[in-house]
Amino acid sequence: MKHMKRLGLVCFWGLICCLLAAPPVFAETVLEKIDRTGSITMGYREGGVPFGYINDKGEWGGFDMDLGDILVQKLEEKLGKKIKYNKTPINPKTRIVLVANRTVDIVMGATTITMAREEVVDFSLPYFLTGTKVLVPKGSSIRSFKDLAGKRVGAGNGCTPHIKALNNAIADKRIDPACEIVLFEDHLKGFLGLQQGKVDAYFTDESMLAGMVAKARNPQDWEIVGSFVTYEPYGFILPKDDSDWRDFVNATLIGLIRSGEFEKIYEKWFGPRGVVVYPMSEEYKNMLNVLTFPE
Amino acid sequence: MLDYNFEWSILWSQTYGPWLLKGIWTTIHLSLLAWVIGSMLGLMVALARLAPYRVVRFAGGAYVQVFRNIPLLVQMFFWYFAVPALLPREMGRWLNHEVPHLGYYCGVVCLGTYTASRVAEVIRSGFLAVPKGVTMAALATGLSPWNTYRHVTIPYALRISMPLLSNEILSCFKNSALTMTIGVMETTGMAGLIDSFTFHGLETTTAASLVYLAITLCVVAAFARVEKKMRIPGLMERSN
Repeated sequence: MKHMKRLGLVCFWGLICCLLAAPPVFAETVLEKIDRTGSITMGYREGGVPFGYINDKGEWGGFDMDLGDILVQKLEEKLGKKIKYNKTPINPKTRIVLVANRTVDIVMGATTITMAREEVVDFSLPYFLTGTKVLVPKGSSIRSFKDLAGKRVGAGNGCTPHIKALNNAIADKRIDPACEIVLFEDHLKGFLGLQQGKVDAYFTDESMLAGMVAKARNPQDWEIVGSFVTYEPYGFILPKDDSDWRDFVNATLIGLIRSGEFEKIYEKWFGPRGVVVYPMSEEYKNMLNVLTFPE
Repeated sequence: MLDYNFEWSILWSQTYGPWLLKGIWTTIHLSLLAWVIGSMLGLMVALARLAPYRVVRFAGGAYVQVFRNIPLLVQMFFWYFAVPALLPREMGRWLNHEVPHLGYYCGVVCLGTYTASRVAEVIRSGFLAVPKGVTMAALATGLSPWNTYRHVTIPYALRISMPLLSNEILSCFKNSALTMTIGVMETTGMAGLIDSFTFHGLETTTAASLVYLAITLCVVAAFARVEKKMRIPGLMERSN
């Protein structure tokens, strides 16, 4: 019995030590690794319509995945050989760790670039721009962000910047009296909560809200109100301190924007006949124009 | 091997420290409330399953099978999303629109009723393990059937069930993590939230694990004391 106890203790502390001992030494860059192994692992969302999702036919595709396919093509051109292309599903909880421990070389998964996140990983240039807005049932008394005062507002569990924006607004009395924030597992459950009246409004990226309304039984019963509360530029998540790899990803992105190919892919997913109709805002167009750095 | 900077200080930073404490506090009172419901209801269901009336026995059995055999996660969604929709219109409206922190109450009720189904089985097995001779002896001394139950069988059975009951209360604490799926910000939920704010998931997850470990170790210690205190000399002595 006593021996078992000691063995247990040793195992316990051994595990703790393994967790703490983290030698951050990686001699090899991502590009070198891809060249050596001949394979790349890319992370995509499974439930982010239309960035990366599984459609009615059970096929995994999306805006991000189309961009990813092109990135792999460019890599094959650059390295002059066929590359094995592994697609890994990621979610907002796993995406950072998987890049940090280099299981995944790049995550293309509708991730907002934030300073806090920059401390742990790197981001590519922004490739998508949206902002937060408020979704309400048609005819609601909520017409803008400040009308959320005293109401119940739903938000996604992992949508940090939105929760932060709400907290800040409550702190500096832009929303006064405070609203109650109700968190949901994912946007689908959040939308169900909004339909049932558990929350009076739902607060997230407009691109996501547009997706929710598009999938609703009666899209005309819902409206997105107010102006952008925060800007949400999305970037690809890259391992920290690997500028060769980041430069390559950025160069590919800039090339796509310059050639007009980017806009075609955007139209495919967000255009009038796309999965989620979400026309490019003026701000977004300007951002893309600014990104076409000279050769 | 991780290319990851550990920053344990976020756990007690000014913003996130209080969040984590709030989460831990929620875990504790939510689980304790659920345990109160679970143990009371569980005892009643166990008695129902042993009752001399067939209908009551059947009802008890049905309760146990339903609540024990549906995944807890599904039950959480059921209480939170489906129950208000199934109730009469006005009541459902009231629940959805007026009750603040509906998720919390649904979580308590869900965890409580689920725990009850498991506690009922544990206590029932305790009752069945009471030697027939003990009950018969009590009756033979002239105690009424109710008094036999009250003073002999129930105390005896509960003592037999004790080690397994401690198991159930531990599960109750651990299962409380599932309430995060219906928006309750308990330890796991808070850890996840802090993770998404800071991208320091390994620290928060480690902290959450240690919190659960600490809580459950406290419960184990408390139960060991209670067991020792309640022990009937000469009966069910455990050799350590």
